[in-house]
Amino acid sequence: MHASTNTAGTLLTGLRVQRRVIWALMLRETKTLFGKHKLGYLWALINASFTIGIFWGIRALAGAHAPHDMAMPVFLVGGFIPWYLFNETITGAMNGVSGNRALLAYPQVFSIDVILARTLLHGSMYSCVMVILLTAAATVGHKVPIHDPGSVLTALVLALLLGLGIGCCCSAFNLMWPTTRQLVPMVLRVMFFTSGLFFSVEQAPAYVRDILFYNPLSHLIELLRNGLSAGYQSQFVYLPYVGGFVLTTLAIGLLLERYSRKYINEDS
Amino acid sequence: MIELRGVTKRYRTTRGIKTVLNDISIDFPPGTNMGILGRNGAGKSTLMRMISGAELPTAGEVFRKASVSWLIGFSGGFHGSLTGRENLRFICRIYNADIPTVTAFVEDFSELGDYMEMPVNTYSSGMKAKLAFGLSMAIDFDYYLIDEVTAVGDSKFQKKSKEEFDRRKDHSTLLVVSHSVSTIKTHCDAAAVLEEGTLTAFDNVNDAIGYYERH
Repeated sequence: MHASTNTAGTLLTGLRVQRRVIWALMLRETKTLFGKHKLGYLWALINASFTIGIFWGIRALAGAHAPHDMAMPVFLVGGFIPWYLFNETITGAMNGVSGNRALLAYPQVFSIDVILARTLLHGSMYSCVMVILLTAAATVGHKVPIHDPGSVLTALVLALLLGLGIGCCCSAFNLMWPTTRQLVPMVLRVMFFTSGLFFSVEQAPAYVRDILFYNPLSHLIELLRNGLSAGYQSQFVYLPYVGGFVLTTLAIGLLLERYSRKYINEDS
Repeated sequence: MIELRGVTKRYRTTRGIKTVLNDISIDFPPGTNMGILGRNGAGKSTLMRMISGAELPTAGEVFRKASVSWLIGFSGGFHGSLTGRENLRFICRIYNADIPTVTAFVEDFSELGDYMEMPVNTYSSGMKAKLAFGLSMAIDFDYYLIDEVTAVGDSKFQKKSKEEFDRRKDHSTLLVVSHSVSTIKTHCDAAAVLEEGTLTAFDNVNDAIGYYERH
């Protein structure tokens, strides 16, 4: 591994090893995350449907309607799926590294692999959950016109990347200051209520909207809803801001991941 | 060949910075089974983690021009809630080893029987060690890093392991850390003594043991 060896070749081998490691981790995580329950992955679906169902019920009791004539369950799916992608990726990244220290004894396994494996797993799982829930909504007679598949995909991928960037940061901070683990869920709780999961950010009063603008997740939720329905066209979404935010957090997160490696040891 | 150049490892503790390894440079040539003697807490496991690549040194470099096993000791990197077989599959995948071949070898070598289908956290420490040991033997490495061989299984299993090591002596090299003189005597051709972060190497095991016992 001298510097004189073929750098491109080394990089290629490295990438091949990393792909293998991430795949192995994904297979393993599916087992450890859901393997012990009888219904396995179905729990992700049950959990999401339950939460959305509860909020649907509450909204229906309050007599609320989704804006722009959107069906309430579709509106809620549009809010909760990006949230799940975002939230689960951050939590998964943070707990994945500290909970898998034993694995890091294998020299080819780095914390970033654990994080990426979990991100890919959650990404594919919640995309499936979204498809299933939308299909269910369409089956029971709600309008689900996928107006703009490009926006839907962009919103999902960006929500995942946003979770990945912030997740890398949190995971690194968690290694350096274990208090992070207490603080992050508190911040996430605030985001749950302020990202427009079960209301439309666009319809919030102007002074609230101006504050919520800085929350990148709220843009992605609106973007997904724009993609799901032709009638729902929120002017709130400003992609350059979200893109910049995602790139910045990813860059910082990856740097911190590299930097925090030396804090990983058996004892702490 | 494994080469260490100026390897230094410091940890930040509540009582300030502790230097565990201080500027260690040594070559581990292929074919020479090397023992590293050190008292408890001398930094033996830390040194091995540097050699395996599980941890990066604070300063200095480790060059590995051969395939090196993970650190084989008591627990290994097993996931407690997964079965022995699931753990085996994971390790095969990350080392790109053929799962059926490795399974066949491990089932025969480790003698775990039905326990292969049980979660690893139901295993005794001896059983875990057997699984880790069998697995590392099944995946062909140039170098085996072993932490306290004496810990691995009962005397029958130890005999079997010794035979397996002897059988592959011409293409595999052992690096063994231990605080026990007899372990090093049984397995190694040369030895080094680790104390206070400094490694002193000897060509002859007996010289190393003499030095170790005087200190």
